[in-house]
Amino acid sequence: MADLDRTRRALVAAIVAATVGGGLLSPASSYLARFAPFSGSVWRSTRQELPDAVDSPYGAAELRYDDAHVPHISAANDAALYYAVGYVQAADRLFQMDLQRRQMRGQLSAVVGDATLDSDTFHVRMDFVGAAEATWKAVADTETGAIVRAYADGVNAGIDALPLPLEFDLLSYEPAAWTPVDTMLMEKQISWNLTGSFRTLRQAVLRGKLDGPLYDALYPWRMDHDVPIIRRGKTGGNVTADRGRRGPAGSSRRGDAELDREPDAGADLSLDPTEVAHLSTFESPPGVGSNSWVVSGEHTATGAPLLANDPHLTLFVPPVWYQQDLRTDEMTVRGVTFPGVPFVVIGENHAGAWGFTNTGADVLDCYRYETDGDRYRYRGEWRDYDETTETIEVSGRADEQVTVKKTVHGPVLTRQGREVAVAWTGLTATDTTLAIRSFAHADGLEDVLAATRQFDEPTQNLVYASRDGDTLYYVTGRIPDRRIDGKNVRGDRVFDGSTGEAEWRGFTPYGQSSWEGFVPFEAKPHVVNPDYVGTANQRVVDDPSYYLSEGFAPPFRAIRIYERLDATVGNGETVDAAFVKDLQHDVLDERAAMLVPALLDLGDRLSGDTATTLEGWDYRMRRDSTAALVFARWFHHYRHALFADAFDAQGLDDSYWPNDWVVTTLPADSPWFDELGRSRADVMVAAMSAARSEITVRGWETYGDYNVLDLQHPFQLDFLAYPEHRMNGSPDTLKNFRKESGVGSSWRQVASLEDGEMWGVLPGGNSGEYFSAHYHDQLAAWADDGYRRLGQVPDGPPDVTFGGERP
Amino acid sequence: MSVAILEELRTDPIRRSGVLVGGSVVGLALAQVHWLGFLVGGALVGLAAPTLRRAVLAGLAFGVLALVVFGVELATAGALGAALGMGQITYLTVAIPLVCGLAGSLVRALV
Repeated sequence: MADLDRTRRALVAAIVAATVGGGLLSPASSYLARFAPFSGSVWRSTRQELPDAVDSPYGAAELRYDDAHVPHISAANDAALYYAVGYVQAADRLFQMDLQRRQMRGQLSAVVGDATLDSDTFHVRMDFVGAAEATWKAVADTETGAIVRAYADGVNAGIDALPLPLEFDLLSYEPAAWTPVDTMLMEKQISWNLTGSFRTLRQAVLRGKLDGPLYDALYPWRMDHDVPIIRRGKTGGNVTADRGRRGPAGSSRRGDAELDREPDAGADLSLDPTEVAHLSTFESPPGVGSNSWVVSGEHTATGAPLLANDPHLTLFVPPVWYQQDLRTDEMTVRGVTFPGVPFVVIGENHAGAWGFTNTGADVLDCYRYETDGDRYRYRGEWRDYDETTETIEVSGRADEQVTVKKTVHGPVLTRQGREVAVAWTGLTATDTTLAIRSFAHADGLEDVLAATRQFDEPTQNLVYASRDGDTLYYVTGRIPDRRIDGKNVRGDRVFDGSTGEAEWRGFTPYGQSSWEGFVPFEAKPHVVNPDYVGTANQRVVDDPSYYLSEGFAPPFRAIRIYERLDATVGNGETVDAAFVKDLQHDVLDERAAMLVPALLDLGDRLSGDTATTLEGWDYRMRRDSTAALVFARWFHHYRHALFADAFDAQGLDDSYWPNDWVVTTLPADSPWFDELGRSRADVMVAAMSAARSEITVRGWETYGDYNVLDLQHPFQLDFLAYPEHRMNGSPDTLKNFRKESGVGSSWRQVASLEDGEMWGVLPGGNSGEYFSAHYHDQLAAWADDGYRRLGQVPDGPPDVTFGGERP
Repeated sequence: MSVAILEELRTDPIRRSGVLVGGSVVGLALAQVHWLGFLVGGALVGLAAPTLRRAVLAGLAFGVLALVVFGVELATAGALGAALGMGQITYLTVAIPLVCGLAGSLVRALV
């Protein structure tokens, strides 16, 4: 009996000891430390309450959060203000900030393992950090540089004092201190996402795969439409844009010898389609674009300008933008910025409002070289590559060594023996940070023009309206003036780097550029005081003085903007804020307007009740519409039927497929149908059959059953995702939602300049803290066409006082 | 604490209740800074139990009490709903005080 008792005691002692020992010494200790009730580190962020008072070496500031957790910060001067901005951005978005800089620095694998090694390798080879350091070197000694330092100090005060967001606990690491170079990296990141494009390489591959007529049919140099941003004779105001010449109506080629020079460098390179597609994975996803328009007071109900903007970017959890409302004794500014950037990027200040859409200008060139293995030839002499070896830390395995090679033009991207050097305007020192801060202080049009001059990257369509009644459209960013034999040439080919062909004069990668080989500021397309201008990433102008790009977006959204503005103004009616908001949520799909009649012409060849469903449809992509569902899925299958097999046979994945404009306008007599060996009608019928089958199998009844918003956190953990929403809109409607690529309106803003009213809404919430009540409190309003009125300063005492009481 | 004192505690319902309350308070206080607090709390409430079976029940009850208090804390911070929606993390968080409370209570079998 005593033995039995001893055995029982020993067993119990062993269980208790194992619990203690296992909990303290085994891998389970990490889980216990993170997830135990009360003491677990993930629960610290549930108790995140900002202190009532925070020391500040920069002076007094007051912070009040409003009912959507938007910080309203007031201070006597910029340094005190932006110290507080740094603190609150750290409080609300620290993990996002750290993740973004890790991506740009090539340090993701250090915390998530080798799944991100390709991304890290690409970013290290591009040396975005070197470009950010060069930019900081140029900014550091300016007044703005001092403000950026104050901001970084504020971020670090937040890192030191506040509980870390739970994502740091889930990945078991702590963030390093924030630096001004990190803020410069954020500028590089957004610029890369908007203008970093390997389209030249993709087109070179395609030219090597497709016969000339087929290539021309599927990749027209210019999409045939008449809604450029600046429309001849319709824009009003003082226009600087084109040369006043126009190609034949309907032509895809212009009559300019230099700009029409045929591309010629694709075949020599023998580029591997897979390798180019791999590079394309580090560009922005398809559909990144935006809408904006500005209407002068001449056509508004109040007599003051109206301005609207909604940038279409990847929809992240948390949102890519952070809302903030700031004031000093000299200025008031509210709107959105990128976490990690101190200054409001899109918004309004005491004198005016502004917004941006992507221009799509070609600001990345590729160069090939004569090499001997170790050196490359440049202008008659052999040069050594600027070569270093960098280490990429990888969690859970050995570090990776990466060779970083550069030529005089920029970094060399090498895979499987193919080498291409890349020049991108963002790889040099840029003044954009100065420009963005100046927008906040601008007292009117002249100040905005001066700020825009400093806006070196990215190339954007700026729209501006002031309370004085001025309006403005201007293309920002440096645009290369590529010259061969003294003449401006297109940038859509791989240039001969060894001869210095078409290289950018005055461009110094990772250094300070003098920019003389770029389009002068005064010559860039712009309109001062236009009547109204609409931008949707379409072609800027029909006949530009300099090559801008061939990568403009299909014009469906632009057609709709001008259709509605022209109709209203043409009828002698005025535009008001309600009209502008309604236009932002317009869901008429011009693809449907152009293609459904052709579908209905198929008559009996359409199965079931397809014709009945589509007849009388108003082409609106509404979530409760069955016709919208049928059209959306038919278009998907039509595009697939047109290109999937034929491109796959050439080793080309869907990143090479032509855009929606080409799909929509491909005529029945296109040589592509000869290539397929099928008529357009046959392809349409087959696609409809596939669409109807899919709809039946999936059990969808209306468009909203398919068109579901499903926003995931980078961790892909269900609990961090946002709630799902059935969505209106399509990839080609003004209310823009791209289910497949997760792109949509990342911020929606409307500003009325008469009374300083501004409305805006985020696709999520202003707090990135999972436990916050403001994690996604704006999402439903965003999905359901709602807005929040901005600028309402909260009453009551401040939530946080920085640096003591304000004098 | 000698065995005799423990035996006295176990037979006196009033003092036993006091130990249960005190042990829970001490356990919860320790759990604010370390998960071993759940083990200690379970051990303290278990030691006062007259039988091993009741000790185990007391240890489990302490774990449940800890969860209730933690739930109230989260609810006060407006984070209870979010915490309950965390999937495997939620399950783990719920299991920790229950398992530790139970394991701690087993010390009743030793003294």
